[in-house]
Amino acid sequence: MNSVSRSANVMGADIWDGDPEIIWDTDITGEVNAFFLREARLLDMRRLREWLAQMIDKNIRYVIVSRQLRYKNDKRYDLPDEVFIYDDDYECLNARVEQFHSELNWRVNPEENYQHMVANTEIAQKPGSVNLFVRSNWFVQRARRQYEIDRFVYCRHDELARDSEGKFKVVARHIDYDERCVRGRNMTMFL
Amino acid sequence: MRDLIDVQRGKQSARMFHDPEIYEREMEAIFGRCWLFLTHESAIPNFGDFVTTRMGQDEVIVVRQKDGSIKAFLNVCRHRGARICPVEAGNKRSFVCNYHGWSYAVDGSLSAVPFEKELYQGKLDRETHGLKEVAQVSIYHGFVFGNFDAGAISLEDYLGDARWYLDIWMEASGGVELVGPPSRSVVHCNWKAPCENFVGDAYHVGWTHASSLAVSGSMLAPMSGNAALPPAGAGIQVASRYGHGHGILYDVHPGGHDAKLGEEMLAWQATKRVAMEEKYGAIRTRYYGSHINGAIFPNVSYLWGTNLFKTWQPVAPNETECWTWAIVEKDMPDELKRKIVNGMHRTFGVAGYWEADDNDNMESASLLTTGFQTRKLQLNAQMGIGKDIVDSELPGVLGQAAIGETAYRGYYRFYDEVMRSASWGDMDPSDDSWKEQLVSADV
Ligand code: FES
Ligand SMILES: [Fe+2]
Repeated sequence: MNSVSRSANVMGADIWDGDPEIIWDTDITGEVNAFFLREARLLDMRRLREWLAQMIDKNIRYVIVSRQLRYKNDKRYDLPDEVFIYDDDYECLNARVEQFHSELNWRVNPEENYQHMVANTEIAQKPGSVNLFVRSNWFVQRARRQYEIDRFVYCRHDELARDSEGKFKVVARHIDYDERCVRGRNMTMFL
Repeated sequence: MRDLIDVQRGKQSARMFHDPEIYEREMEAIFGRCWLFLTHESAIPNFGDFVTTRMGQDEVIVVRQKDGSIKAFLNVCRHRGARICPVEAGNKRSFVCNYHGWSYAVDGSLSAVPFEKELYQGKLDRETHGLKEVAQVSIYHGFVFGNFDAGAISLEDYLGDARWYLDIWMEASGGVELVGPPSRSVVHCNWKAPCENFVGDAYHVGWTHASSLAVSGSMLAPMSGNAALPPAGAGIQVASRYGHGHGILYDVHPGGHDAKLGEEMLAWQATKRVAMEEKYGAIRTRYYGSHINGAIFPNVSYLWGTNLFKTWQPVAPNETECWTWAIVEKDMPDELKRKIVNGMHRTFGVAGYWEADDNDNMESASLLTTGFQTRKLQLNAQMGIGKDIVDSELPGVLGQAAIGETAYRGYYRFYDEVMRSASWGDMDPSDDSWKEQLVSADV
């Protein structure tokens, strides 16, 4: 382990380093899938304010890291290998949403179009915690202007909590983004 | 190359974003001769620590030596040319090629060849098969630069009059750290398109970034949508002998950062200003508390205040790789450092919303030059032309407002000089006529 800075550990995503017991109860898997599909739909339809208000917890930590390429087991070099492409709280996410919807945002006029696709969803729980830890693989395509097609593939680690009405909210999202040098121009959309 | 840059009238041919011959000439005359940023010292503190990076399109390994010095080598095996090192950073006592197993020591010498005696039978000259070394490596305030040209002037001379401005944040601040690893992304533009923007374009801020400004709560927010110019006399621009440039926007240090972080940064600066003024004077202390956009020719861009440090690595005439680090003051509390690093990536990293605003312009300005008729056009960098001056106190050639294109003109003046010169011998460092060229430029 050459990384001295694994943000995944502090965000609970390290549950997937082990082999946790997977929840296959169809009520729960059905509910989580419905939640993800709704999230994909809202993001695809650019209904970002609804997405933020209804699906994201006020205490969210939303992280995407890019990892510097290192040799396995390089024990003599211990500088951090993670760069935080995103490390946002609710307020920061809100600023991004408002920038997106701003009339002055020339970049998304004409509109960009997205498809979010989700697969390989697995759900686990930590002993003593009621929150769900969900691992899923995603594919996002952004179609922009005349020729720009950008594609993003990644594994997402979410922690879901229930709010007072029993509905899921994302309290933590951690993505370790594989493509070191991002060819898709920018990652300003939500993953 | 002759009709590419019109220094006198502040115009450039759109061909410079497109023509493969121009790009090839840039690799030779600019990336083959100018000082190029490699790394910050702090990324390779110990013997055997290395990073890999690029100089133009050439991949290089930058390694800390036993005696503490730093050497750089092409990341290329001298046998059949395979890549020596596939990672971006680490610590090694030797670099072993994956292809046939030739092994190189940290100083670049060829140290072991599998079955050398049996298979080469004394016919392999190890001396001439060490890693190809970059001719010069030099360090300025911890920033490590390399130069392929053994005949190039020293890094200090190359930074020249720009040092007076660089020293404000590199030295007077008490010193900075460059926080890595860098984020990396591909921008589909010519490498000069972002460089010219960072060297001297305060004009675009209010319009390109209108939406970012509107939601940022930053000190620059009143500029959103071109609702306001910076107040009269609110800054200067500076052009330098070797193309470096600066733009200073007075007293709004935290730039694009949000209001909360901005206040913390200003409070931090306040603790240093009295002592700084004593040692460095009132003007430079004011600049310390200002927002500075800057460029080190050819391909380093930085913003002091927003605290990004970028290199734009050419990949092809219409493709450039962007590397982004964060700048923080060494003695800042860790928590403030963390906030600045995150705030910088939030605005100017791979998912930075300011960055995305910018890249769109750079991509269209570059890609449109695939048009035959488009390439015949001249680009205009005439804002403030005829008003540039030389000052007795401030080094370089000055544009007398925060917003103008003085530093564009200085950048392309040297671009023209270096592209047309056969060697450093043609560019006399004592020749001061470059100032007159810029000052007398007019439509
Ligand atoms: S190419 Fe490197 S050992 Fe042969
Ligand atoms: Fe910009």
